[in-house]
Amino acid sequence: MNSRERVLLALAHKEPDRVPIDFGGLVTSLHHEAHRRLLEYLGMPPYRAPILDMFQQIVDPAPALKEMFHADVFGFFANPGSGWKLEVDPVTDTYVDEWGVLYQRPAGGYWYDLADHPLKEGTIEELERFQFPNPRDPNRIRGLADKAKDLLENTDKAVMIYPPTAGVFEHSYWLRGIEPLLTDMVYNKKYVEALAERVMEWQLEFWDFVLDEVGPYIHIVQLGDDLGGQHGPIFSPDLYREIYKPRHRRITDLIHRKTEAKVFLHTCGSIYWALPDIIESGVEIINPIQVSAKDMETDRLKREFGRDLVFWGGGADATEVMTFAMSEGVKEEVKKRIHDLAPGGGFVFASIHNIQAEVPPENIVALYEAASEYGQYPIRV
Amino acid sequence: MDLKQIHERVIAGDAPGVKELVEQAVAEGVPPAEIISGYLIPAMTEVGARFERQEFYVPEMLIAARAMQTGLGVLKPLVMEGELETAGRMVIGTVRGDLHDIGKNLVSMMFEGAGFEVTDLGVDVGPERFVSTVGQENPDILGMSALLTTTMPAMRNTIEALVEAGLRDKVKVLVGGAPLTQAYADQVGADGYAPDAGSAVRKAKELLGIV
Repeated sequence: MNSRERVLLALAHKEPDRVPIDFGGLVTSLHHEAHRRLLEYLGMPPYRAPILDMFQQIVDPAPALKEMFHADVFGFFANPGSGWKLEVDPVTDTYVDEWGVLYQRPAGGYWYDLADHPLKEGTIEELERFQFPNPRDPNRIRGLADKAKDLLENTDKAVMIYPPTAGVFEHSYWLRGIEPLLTDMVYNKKYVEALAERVMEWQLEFWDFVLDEVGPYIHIVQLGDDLGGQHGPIFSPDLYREIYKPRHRRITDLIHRKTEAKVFLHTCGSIYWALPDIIESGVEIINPIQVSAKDMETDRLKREFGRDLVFWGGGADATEVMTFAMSEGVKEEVKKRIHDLAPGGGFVFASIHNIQAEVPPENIVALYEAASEYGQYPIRV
Repeated sequence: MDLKQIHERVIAGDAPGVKELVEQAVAEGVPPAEIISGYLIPAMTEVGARFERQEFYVPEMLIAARAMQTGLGVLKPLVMEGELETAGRMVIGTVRGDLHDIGKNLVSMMFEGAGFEVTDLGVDVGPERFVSTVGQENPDILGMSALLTTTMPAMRNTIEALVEAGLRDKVKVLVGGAPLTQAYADQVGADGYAPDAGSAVRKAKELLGIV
């Protein structure tokens, strides 16, 4: 059984030969520093891994590592618009994205953070004036169909396309700033909705344009929209249901019309409360299953939502276990997640979000070794 | 006037309403200290409780805290020295390498709303700055926040720096932030951990024995 068959069986809620593994994707990779130390620890030659995501400073890992960890998925991005190029100001260690959002890395920090936002006033007039980049910029699809086709025809991996930006809620706050947007939610809901509408319209246009090119060659479309805090919703579930959920649905409807690929939603934190809504909004795969957050017990998640959702992630609690436990602790944790999530298929193993710079290499190796070892069907752990 | 309205308008996050009511109350001769301790502080206690019960979320808490701050802005300059009993002094900041401040801001405002005097050092605060501020201001509580697993170790560094400066026993250290746990707080030698802005105040009061 090859990687693609394995992933597709898991996505069809059937048991393949072993639990598929995703390593090296937009939310399943590792920080360049962790990557460097991992290669060193394994005695592998240094490898200048391309930065996969500037913001998080994660890499597209060395092919030898992907092979060693039995990675079953390949992903790719659409190109940026033609008017934009990544330029880092070396003095302030900042850069600006296609929308005019500023990112800054603190001195000695490992990655960038949102530092300034273009929508300062928070008025409908400002929003109407504000120029979004062209979602149908021809550069976005230059060479893209060939790339996707090549991945489909010349690899045996499952093929995933990454999103061009964050989801409707998250991208709203990238543009507006988190505190202003959260305040708008109470004082100016009409504005929050107008902003969500424009962000969604851009994404609909983007996917319509891009899926015409790559739709037949892909198996998974990744989206992301963080809805959870550590202990529950960031903002009221009613507001999510009123403003964001219907727009998520419009995006997934379009994707489903244009491709047979499954829709993958990356949403961090405690999101148990939202899962019935997430299912209704057309999502088939949920990630990263942040087990350290409230109400994210994997046995209950599988019992209650395993029929409707594929779980993609869950691989060792990123805060306590990966960072601070010994490698034996990592293996025990992997066993538990496989025990809870793997039976019956519907599970793709991945780290819970990207592996951070200071995670010991021993633990990274233990994570994927355990996934292969205990992930053989029928599950016996 | 009905002073209870101040309490209600704070909970509703109505900053202009709070300002107007507070100014009216002052004009009618209600002592500023009484408005703070009788209405603003209890309102924020209620906001914290609703947040813990998940009746309020971050947006509601943010606007309530701002409404409270608007009221305090009017009243503080009018309060005579010694007229208002402070719950304690606090120094707070997000640790080095970490630019996340919404959680820290909420904690800071909840402490203000509970009658603490708060010095907020902002984000990306290094151990030396925490230590020098503790030395100068002699706070009861030092609050440190981190959102990243990679910046959490800065809490340990800061606590070690407090020890070296001979200040560790002079201040209670309270830590928080999404990736933190009680176990981690114990490990780095903090006095307390709180999972959210509502319970942080309660924890601080418990540490100071003013429950």
